[in-house]
Amino acid sequence: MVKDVLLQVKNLHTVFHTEDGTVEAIGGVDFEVRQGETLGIVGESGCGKSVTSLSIMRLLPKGIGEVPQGEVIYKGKNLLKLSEREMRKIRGKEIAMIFQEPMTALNPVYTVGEQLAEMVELHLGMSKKEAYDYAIKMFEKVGIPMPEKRIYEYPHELSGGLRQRAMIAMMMSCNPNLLIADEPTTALDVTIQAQVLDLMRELLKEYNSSLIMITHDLGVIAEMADRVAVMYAGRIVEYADVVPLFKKPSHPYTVGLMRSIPRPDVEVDRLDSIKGVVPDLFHMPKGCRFSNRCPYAIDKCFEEEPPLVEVEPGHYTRCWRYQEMEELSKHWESGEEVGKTSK
Amino acid sequence: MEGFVKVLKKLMRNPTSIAGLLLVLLFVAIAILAPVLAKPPYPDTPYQMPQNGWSSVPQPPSHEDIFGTTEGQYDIYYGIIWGTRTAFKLGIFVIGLALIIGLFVGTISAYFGGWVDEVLMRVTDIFLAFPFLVGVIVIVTMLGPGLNHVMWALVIFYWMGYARLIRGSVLEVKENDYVMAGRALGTPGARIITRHILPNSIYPILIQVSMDMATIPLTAAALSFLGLGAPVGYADWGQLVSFSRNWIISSSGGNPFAYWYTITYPSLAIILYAMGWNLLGDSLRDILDPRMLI
Amino acid sequence: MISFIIRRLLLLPVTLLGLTFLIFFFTSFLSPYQLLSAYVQDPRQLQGANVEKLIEKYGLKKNFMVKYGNWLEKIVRGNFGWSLSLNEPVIKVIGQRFPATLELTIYAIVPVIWIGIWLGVVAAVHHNGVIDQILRVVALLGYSIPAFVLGLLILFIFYGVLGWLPPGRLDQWAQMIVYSKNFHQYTGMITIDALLNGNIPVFLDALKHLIAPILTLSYLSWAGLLRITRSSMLEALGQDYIRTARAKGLSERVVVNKHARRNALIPATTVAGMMFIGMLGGVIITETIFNYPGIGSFSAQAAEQFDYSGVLGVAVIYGLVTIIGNLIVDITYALIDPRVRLG
Ligand SMILES: Nc1ncnc2c1ncn2[C@@H]1O[C@H](COP(=O)(O)OP(=O)(O)OP(=O)(O)O)[C@@H](O)[C@H]1O
Ligand code: SF4
Ligand SMILES: [Mg+2]
Repeated sequence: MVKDVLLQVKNLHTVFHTEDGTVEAIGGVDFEVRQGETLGIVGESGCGKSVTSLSIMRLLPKGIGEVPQGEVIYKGKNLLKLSEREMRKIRGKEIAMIFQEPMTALNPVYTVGEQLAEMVELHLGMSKKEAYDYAIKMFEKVGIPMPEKRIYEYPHELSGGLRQRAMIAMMMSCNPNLLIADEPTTALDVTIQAQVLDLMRELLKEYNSSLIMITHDLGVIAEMADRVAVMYAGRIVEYADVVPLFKKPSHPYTVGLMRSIPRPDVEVDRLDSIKGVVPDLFHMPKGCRFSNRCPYAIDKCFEEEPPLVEVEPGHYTRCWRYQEMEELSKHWESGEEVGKTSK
Repeated sequence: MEGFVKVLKKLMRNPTSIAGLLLVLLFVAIAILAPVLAKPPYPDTPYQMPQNGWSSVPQPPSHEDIFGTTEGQYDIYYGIIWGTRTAFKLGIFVIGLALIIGLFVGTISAYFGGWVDEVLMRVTDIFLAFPFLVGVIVIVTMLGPGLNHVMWALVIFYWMGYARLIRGSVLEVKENDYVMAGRALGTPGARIITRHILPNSIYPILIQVSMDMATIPLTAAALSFLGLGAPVGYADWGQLVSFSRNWIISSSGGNPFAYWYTITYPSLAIILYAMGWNLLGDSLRDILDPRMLI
Repeated sequence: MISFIIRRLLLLPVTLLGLTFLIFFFTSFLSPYQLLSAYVQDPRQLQGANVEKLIEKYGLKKNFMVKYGNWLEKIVRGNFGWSLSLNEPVIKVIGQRFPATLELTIYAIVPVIWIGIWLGVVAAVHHNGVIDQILRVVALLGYSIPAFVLGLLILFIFYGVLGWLPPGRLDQWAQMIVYSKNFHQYTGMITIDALLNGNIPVFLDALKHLIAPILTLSYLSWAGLLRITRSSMLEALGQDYIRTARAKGLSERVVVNKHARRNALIPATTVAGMMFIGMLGGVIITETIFNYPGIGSFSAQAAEQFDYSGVLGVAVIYGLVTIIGNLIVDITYALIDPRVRLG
């Protein structure tokens, strides 16, 4: 059964006008999110995950960030074309967003209850009193103990885990169709992480909402996502359902990421598994953006950027050598011998 | 050094900071060229404004006194030119000394911490418990008026800002282990100051100095205005302004507009001078204060 | 929080002691004869042979601590000496003039806070726009015009040329009323007393005399408050919680006026408090220009006429007001910032 497409991002480009010139942080990203499904976006720090989500929500810093090209189709409407007023009706009510750092993402001078209440007052037209009662209900739902007391507390009075629960309560309060969670658990302890993820899954199921889960943790992806987009340096390099992706990764970067998941049976130096760092936006390699770090790069990779091709139905990858990948991926460490012809 | 060049480049990009820089340079040039621009009749006492007669009524601008004269016939043009020197003299002396005291107190306070820090900071608080002008007036009253006394009074009540600023940056530097390593190896204190502490606090100090180059002479001028600063006839902007008071309010009879020049020129000098330093300091803050870099 | 207040209160006497010591230290430059007026309450004591006796009695030729101790004892009892410039006990002068200064500064600070904060918010919202640039230049102009120049210019225009705003505190006829038996001076602040006495003409006359000094005093302060509000507002607007507020679908007006401004107001309040205290010092120039009989003009007059006891007395009062004022500001700050309040 193919579910309806809820959100479709087409050829999204995002640029930043900085003091040292204009840079392209997102260079043509395509993906879609179906009703009730979870799309995972995974990639290293700085690859453009947050910028993608902010572009969808049209929350890029004013005058600095801009989307010169692309479409974001939500329920048949291009969000990028809406007036600011119409967009405000979407934010929070239809599409909600959870941020990475629950401490700084909540306003320190208002109680958490107030921060939830003002949202339902706005979108659901409740009175102050109803909104506060509703806040208590939501807090209860996300498992915050003593909600009738907690709603009157300030963010710094809550622990990190509770804060993120409060954030989730807030963002789910208007029953959004789509939730974008930008690394919601990165700042939390491992045990708390698992609890928060469970909570999110439950709520999504209950509300039949879709989720875009942004993370750099493939473990979270494996647990939460139905479909996955792997991002690298402002591009999607691989895009597939979660099972085929893990079974048969077709891009060297994905392969590298998977190798860097710590596993009890294999001893891998996590940091070492993909050498080097993401190139900064001013110094992108000319050909494939991964070429300076890819163990399998060939001459062509330094000349021309590979297109995103469909390897199997619904499985896309952006690599010149995707056909050989199954063979190549067995020799990560000795990649050089396998094919790299130095330039 | 590289940093300075970069800062300078950024300064040159913004029209307001260019205006500030130009104004400051203009006044620096006036101060340096004072003996050329307004030749002192008595070279031994150049700061004494020459008097062209004894009439108590100000005289409008003429060929001889291009900005007119004050009551008592002091030449306004001469007073403004040499008053520029007075302003720089005051600024450099007071800020220089305040900076030295601040460096001393701030460094010791932060470096030793503990009760030394506590005591020094409480003492600083006590000095800060006076409104600046009140403190200065107390000292000038006790010492008696005169520009030298004013300068010392200003120093005594102006070092606290620098002490706090420097204490803050020393504390920051102290976090860096290489200073701790340096101390362990017996690096002399002076070297730690010049090598680590000054480079770290140079920009905030620069901003502060730039603003204070406006504040200090203005405060001294205010004291002169109150009759507590420079002696009568000394080339000083505050005194020139105070000479105008009786003439621009009609109480002395006649049309107050007739004496417009007695207030206009000295005020303009003061405002432009302060404007220059403030524009410069403000632009520096915009460039250097990371909080402003959004 | 409680411990913070207790600590501050415990430090208060220490600071006060240090303050009086510092003030008195500067009298070391004076001869015993010059200093004597600070000890006596009645000028008749200063006649003939009695002078030497008094110098002996207060130990004015002895060591510093003896002189200081005797002086401090008198101060604590409310004897601030005899003012040679006004021929009255210093404490009486202060008692009469302090309410006048307080009246002036209160009227001056209220518009400053209003306008300064409002303009600061406007400037921050239009960061680097035309309004921001204009406000910046106007604010810098504010910094750059010294009080005595601005005051004289106002006097020149509104009194010299237009004849509207006369110097002094009251017209002759109003003075007759105010110092008559039927007029009760409840507070020493004439505008308030006039209203309490139901005398509208006196109220209006007092107000008329206040306008020019208020203009002078407040012009010099609003610029500072504008800059502080602007920069703390800019800082607030760059925070994560602002992005959250926008992601909730709140209108820009609510985001700015509720979420950002509340945070920016915390530092602005502190600055406004310190500004009020600073204004009490700033009145020296303003009151002198406008012949306004407050403690500011008294300190200038006393200084000019070598009225040592007058200057000492004013300095003690100023120090006292500043220290207590700062304490109030600090406590207020702690009260309005939930992070400190509950921490
Ligand atoms: N305001 C901005 N101005 C200029 N460049 C920006 C701005 N915001 C983001 N970028 C750039 O866009 C790129 C993508 O950043 P983004 O925050 O989306 O990374 P990310 O994938 O979310 O990383 P992380 O895992 O660290 O959150 C980065 O190279 C970053 O430098
Ligand atoms: S295109 Fe070349 S460089 Fe890029 S990922 Fe594939 S093999 Fe590596
Ligand atoms: Mg991110």
